Amino acid sequence: MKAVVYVLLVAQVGFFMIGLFTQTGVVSETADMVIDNRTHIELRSNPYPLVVGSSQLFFTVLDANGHPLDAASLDVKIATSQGSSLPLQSSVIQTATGQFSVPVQWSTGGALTISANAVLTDGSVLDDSFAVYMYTATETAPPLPTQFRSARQNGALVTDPQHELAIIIPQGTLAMIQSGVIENAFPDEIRLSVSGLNTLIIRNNDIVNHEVGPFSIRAGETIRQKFTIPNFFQGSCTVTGTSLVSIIVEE
Amino acid sequence: MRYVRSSVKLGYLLVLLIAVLVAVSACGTAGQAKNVFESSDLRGAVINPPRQLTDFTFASTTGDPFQLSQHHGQTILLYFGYRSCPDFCPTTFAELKQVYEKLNSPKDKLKIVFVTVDPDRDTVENLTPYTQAFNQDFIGLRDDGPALKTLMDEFGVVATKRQVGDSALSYLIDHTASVFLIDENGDLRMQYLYGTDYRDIVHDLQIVLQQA
Repeated sequence: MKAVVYVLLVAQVGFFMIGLFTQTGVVSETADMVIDNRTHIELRSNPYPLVVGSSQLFFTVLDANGHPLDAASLDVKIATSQGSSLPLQSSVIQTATGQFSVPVQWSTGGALTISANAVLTDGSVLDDSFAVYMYTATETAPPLPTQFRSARQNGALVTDPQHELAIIIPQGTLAMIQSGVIENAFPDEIRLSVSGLNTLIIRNNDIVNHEVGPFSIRAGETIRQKFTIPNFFQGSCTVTGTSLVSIIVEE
Repeated sequence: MRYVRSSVKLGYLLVLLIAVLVAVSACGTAGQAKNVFESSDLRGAVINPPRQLTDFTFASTTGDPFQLSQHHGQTILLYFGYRSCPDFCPTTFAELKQVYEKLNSPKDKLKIVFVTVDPDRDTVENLTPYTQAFNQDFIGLRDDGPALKTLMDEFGVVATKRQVGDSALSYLIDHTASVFLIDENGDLRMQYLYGTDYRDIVHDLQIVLQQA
């Protein structure tokens, strides 16, 4: 129910960047392990993060063991946050087994979605997408993250939707707040309950560190907190318009 | 002569076998260490990937300098506070005392460390009775140089003085009141928010220390 509420909220205010991700099926490992054990597409770029001008995207199709997987082709699409497609000026080139690259020329900054669709040699199809931010000036990225996280990776954060609430801080959040593109990239108030939605997961996909109440979350980090008793936390927040966030844990 | 050569070869083989067994055993331990923090049953905030910490050396109430890298292989619960704190610090350390005693004082595996954010008033000398009043094994650390700020930044800890009297030394410090867990590799792995029930910390440490 809360998942639906958040999705509606996201749709209403147009913050496609606030992600609340759920995935059916219970697994025993954490999200990162699940990703490691699945066939998936990895995206890196040069430069990282992306900056207006010329850059190169590198895609790798990986098998369950993290080894490049032979793929017959890879299709790439890029869209703005409003959904408009951006034309690719070059074709995707296969550079090695399971590895593809495409040069791109960016003229404006902002949030983008890069979608990749790989056709494997056995005919099966693997697709994924990446929420990325195009910076207007070169940014010094911290050691983490070194690559973009995909929608599948973010979606795998939640393995038990009845009890887990995941909130993603997308790449470019600070830049968008500073430039006035968005006011709020995070709910001011998070309500949980010991007997229901009792686990808060916050993933920082931005390239800067963020404060969310009692949590200081480095770029690329994910924190996972299970609450076992009612509690109330209020503190400063770098991703809300009010610069404050409340975490309310009820019975 | 042939017998001697055979014995030497056998010796080499034995050494090789032992090395392989040690390596396999080490890999197994590393794998377990990873799994422990991936348990969805942990009650503290788990940080993924583990946050690497810069090594530091602070003066300590043990009489010897405390260097983080010297404690690899041990789990550390670390708290930033100050001796004259009227509320958060004594409450938290009273909880940590219970944690430590519930676990039967696992001195070799677990260190409970108090880092003062008030080096102007807290000295190693006056921190010693303060920390030891909770438990003889608890360690107080002090540094009055830039290393303290660096360490606090790595943990995301803030501390702000708030004047409450006329005297320059009459102040309180508003500070982050979480307890942080540093794993046996010296990486920051977990955070316990203020108000966490000590039984939840005991619960987690029973899991974490089992693999240490």
